[in-house]
Amino acid sequence: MSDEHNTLDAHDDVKDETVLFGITIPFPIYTVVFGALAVLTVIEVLIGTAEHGSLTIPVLFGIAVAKAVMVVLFYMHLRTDNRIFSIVLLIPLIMAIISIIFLLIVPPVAY
Amino acid sequence: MSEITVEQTHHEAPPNHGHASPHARAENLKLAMWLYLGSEVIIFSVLIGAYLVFRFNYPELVRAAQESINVALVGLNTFLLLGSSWAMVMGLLNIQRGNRDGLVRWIGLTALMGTVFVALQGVEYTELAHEGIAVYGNEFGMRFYAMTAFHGFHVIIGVLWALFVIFNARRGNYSAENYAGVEVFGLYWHFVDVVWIFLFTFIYLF
Repeated sequence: MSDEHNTLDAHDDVKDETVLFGITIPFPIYTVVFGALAVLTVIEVLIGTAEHGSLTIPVLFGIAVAKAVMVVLFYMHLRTDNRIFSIVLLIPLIMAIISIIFLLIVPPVAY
Repeated sequence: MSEITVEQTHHEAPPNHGHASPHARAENLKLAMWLYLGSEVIIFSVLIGAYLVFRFNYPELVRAAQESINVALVGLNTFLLLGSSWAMVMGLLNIQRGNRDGLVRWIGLTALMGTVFVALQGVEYTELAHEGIAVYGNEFGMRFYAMTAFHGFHVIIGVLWALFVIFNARRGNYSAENYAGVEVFGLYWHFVDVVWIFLFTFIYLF
């Protein structure tokens, strides 16, 4: 790669239309992702404001993770960027998740 | 006189001798931002972890507080922040294609949405204060305000940064060949969006 190349060679292929499951959508991938985020948010609010069942929290958590992953992969370009950036994100994230799980399984008060 | 000599020597040196190439410099900037965001992951995780422990151990207190929350207002705010992330990345796409005016317009929209987000958060805080959910004397309130206000502070910093990007763009500092500054700002802004995705779910919907 020459010095003249810019920083985002991997992103230059963003087109004005997106092919999704064989269907051509006349918007760039960024707009399609925003549409998906909006739809998921509406679903999330509908689920969250309804009566909570045993699956409500796992489903809401799954939707939140899906939305975050979309932003990180497409808007923050981890899908195409240098792998080292993903590692830099994942190391503290894994530490944080383990710590939170640990805190959640420890009894809140002494026996 | 000696300064002039140094300057001349510097100009005569071979290109990139002892300096990172523009590509390497941009990658370094992005790595630095990702390292910073990694530290932010830990900070926000402490706040979120503390809230989740409270949420699962005292669900009745959280349920009572959630009845005072205006989910429609917060839902609108969530759309604003998601929309601002979209506007941000569209600005990046524009400058990648050499459209500086497009960059200014889209980043301007990002800043506007961020500003409205903070303003509506102020409205929400006022409503909650009237409902008795305050920073002091309320178990839910102290955790709620710690998380959302810290996030709001990040949004305010992001808005100021967006204005700085617009200022730079108007001065012609970005082009289709040089937009690392825009992308690094974008990483920050999208991270703030990702944090809100989790805060919205954990605080308002769980």
